[in-house]
This record gives sequence, structure tokens and C-alpha cells, in this order.
Amino acid sequence: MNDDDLKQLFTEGEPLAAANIEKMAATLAASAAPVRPLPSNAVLWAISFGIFAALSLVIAAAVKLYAIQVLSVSQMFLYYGLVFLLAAFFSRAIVEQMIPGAVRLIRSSVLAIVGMSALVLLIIAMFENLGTDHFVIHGIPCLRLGLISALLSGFLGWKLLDHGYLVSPRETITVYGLFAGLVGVSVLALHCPILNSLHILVWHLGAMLIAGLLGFFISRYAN
Amino acid sequence: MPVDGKMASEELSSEGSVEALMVAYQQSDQNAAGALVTRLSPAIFQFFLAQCRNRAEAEDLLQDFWLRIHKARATFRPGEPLMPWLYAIARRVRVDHYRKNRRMKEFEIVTEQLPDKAAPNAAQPADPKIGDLLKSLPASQREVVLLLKVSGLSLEEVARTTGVSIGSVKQKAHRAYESLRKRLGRSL
Repeated sequence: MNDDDLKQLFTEGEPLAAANIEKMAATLAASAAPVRPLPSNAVLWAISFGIFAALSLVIAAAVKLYAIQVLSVSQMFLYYGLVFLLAAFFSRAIVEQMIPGAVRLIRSSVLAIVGMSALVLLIIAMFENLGTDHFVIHGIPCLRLGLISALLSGFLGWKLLDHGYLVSPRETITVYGLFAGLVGVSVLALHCPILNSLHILVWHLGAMLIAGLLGFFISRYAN
Repeated sequence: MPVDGKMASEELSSEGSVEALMVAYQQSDQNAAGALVTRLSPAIFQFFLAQCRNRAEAEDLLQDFWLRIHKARATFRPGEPLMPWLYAIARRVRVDHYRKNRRMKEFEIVTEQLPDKAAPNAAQPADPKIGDLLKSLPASQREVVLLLKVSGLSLEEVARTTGVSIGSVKQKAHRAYESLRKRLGRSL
């Protein structure tokens, strides 16, 4: 049996009734209203990344950029570089998921795992573990700021996602949750002067993790 | 008006290009909207029918599909291929329908015993062998075979539709054909 035989097998059966097609055609034609196609992926990516960068800088500036005063140039280069690189990839992944049938260059699940792992490794490698003195007292304000930033980003991002058609809503909204959480990480990276690796891992990355989980539960509810 | 249900995507894409119709539909051209439905419905219907094996269900899915196309029409961008866009939405319609059915079944209460075997009617597949063949394949392989063979999409279009790499599509198709050939060889 060759491929043509297979095709023959699968396309057997009565075709769709012409009356049904005409009915659907009439319904669609009657409700046709002009729409403007979405802009290119590059423009959508720029908007998504723009939301990230603008929110990070505005919120961090509002609560003061204390971290810049205590981080070395190499630490700033590596830490901010990785956060912004991840933001660029997350933006791209989200844009790809907004358009049905778009070429997928980035697998969201891989990005989420690789991104989180890279952040964890960099933080462990770059900052010392200075113990758990005042761990919770110093941590809660950071987590709160991270989550507020993530919520603001999530709200703006929702407006963007609403323009697309999500073919995998669960995956997209979960990834967007992580992306919104990355805004929180970015704000804290610019604001928080505590260079304790444990503090950053738990309270800064915790905001990203919670935002991702929130996205996951919202996607299940929305679905 | 007879409608050929075996129309493949190459045929659909030719003469007067469905992409051009889609662009006209976005600009509220009522004739284009009608023409688009007329030309694409048979192939999309076959895609649904081959997976649910029930005409009434496939027709419902087709209606839902066109409603979603209407809502999502702004996400099609002129210059991009139309088929992966359409089939990605069709795929979503089928997945949602499957999940909805599964949820409904969870809450269903059996009140009486059904007969062992239902009487044959128009809702049954024309040839049970085809249904058996399809059911024998894992869902992801079945989908790839349907998109390639029923809908006539290219490997790249199937990759875009399903959101995986071309290599992955090739692998799934190869495994599906092997499996089908083996099963057909046994049954003949």
C-alpha cells in the first residue's frame, strides 16, 4: 500500500452537504466587518519587550535604584544581561504563540526550564550565601514588590495577548506568568541592595515562580 | 451544487488564491467571506470527520471553526501562508471539543443500560476499517497523517500548524505509515 492508497482511504465518504456550506457562508458574509491585521512579529516583539523594559525601569526608579550602587560593573553586566536576554526570549515565545500557525523558534517549556536554571546558577555563582539573619523581614517587602510588578506587567500583557488568538492558552498564559514574574525579578535586581544569594533565590526568583504558578492556574480556569 | 470533499490544500491555494480571499474578507468583502467558506469548508470538514468519525459532530465543529475564524481574522497577516493559520485554529477547535466532551463525561450519570450494539445509522463511518486504522494510531501521529494526507498540507505547513519542527513531523508521519502498512498487511 502506497501513500496515494492511504489518502484514498482517508478521504472516502460522503462530502459535506452544499446547503450547510451555503448557510455558513451566508452567516459569515452577513457579519463581515473590516479588521486591521496584526502588525509583524518584530513589532509585537518590540511592544512586548517594551512593556518589560519600561515597567522595570519606571517601577525600579520609583522605589530607587539602590542595587546599582552596590553591584560591580561585571555583576551588573552579567545579571542585567541575563535578565534582559531572557526577557527578549520570553517576548519572542509569547508573540509566536499569539499567531496561529506561526513559525515556532522557541519552545516555551524549554525556555522556562533553561531560563530559571540559568538565573539560579548565575545567582549562586555570583553572590555569596550570607546566611539567614533577618531573612523573612528583609524578604517579604522584596516578594511584595516583585509580585506587584508582576501583576502590573500581567495586566498590560493581557491587553496585548487579547489581540492575538491563543492556540495553546494554557502554555501561553503560564509562560506569560513567568514573563510577568521576570519583570518583578528585574525590578528587584535594580532596586534591592541585598547581595545574599539565598535572599535573591528565595524572594526575588520566588516572585517569578509564584507569577508562573498563578498564570498556570488562571490558564486552567480560563480554559 | 456538488462539493468535492477531497480538495487538497494545493488546489485550494491555486486559482484566485485563498490568501487573497482572506485579505478581502478582512476588509469586509461579503463575497470573499462566502467564497472562502465555500472553498475551504469541504477540506476542513474532512479534517474533523476523520478525527471524530461522526458527521453531526464534524458539522458542529465546522460551525464552531468558522465562528472562531471570524473572531480571529485579524491575526492573519497578508503575505503569510493561510493553511497553517486555518488548521492551527481547526486543531484548537478539535482539542477544545475533546476536552469539553471529557469534562461532560466525568459528570454524566448512567441511568440505564444501553444495548450492546447500536443499530447502524448515517452517523456511523462509511467504512469501519478506516476508523479502526485511525484509532490504532497515537493522537499526534493520527493528526500528522490527516494533515498531510487528507488536508494535503506540506511538511512545513504541518510543522507550523502543530507547533513542532519539520523533523518531528517527518518522524511522526514515518512511524504512522509504518504502523498503518503493518495493520493493513495483516488485515488483507
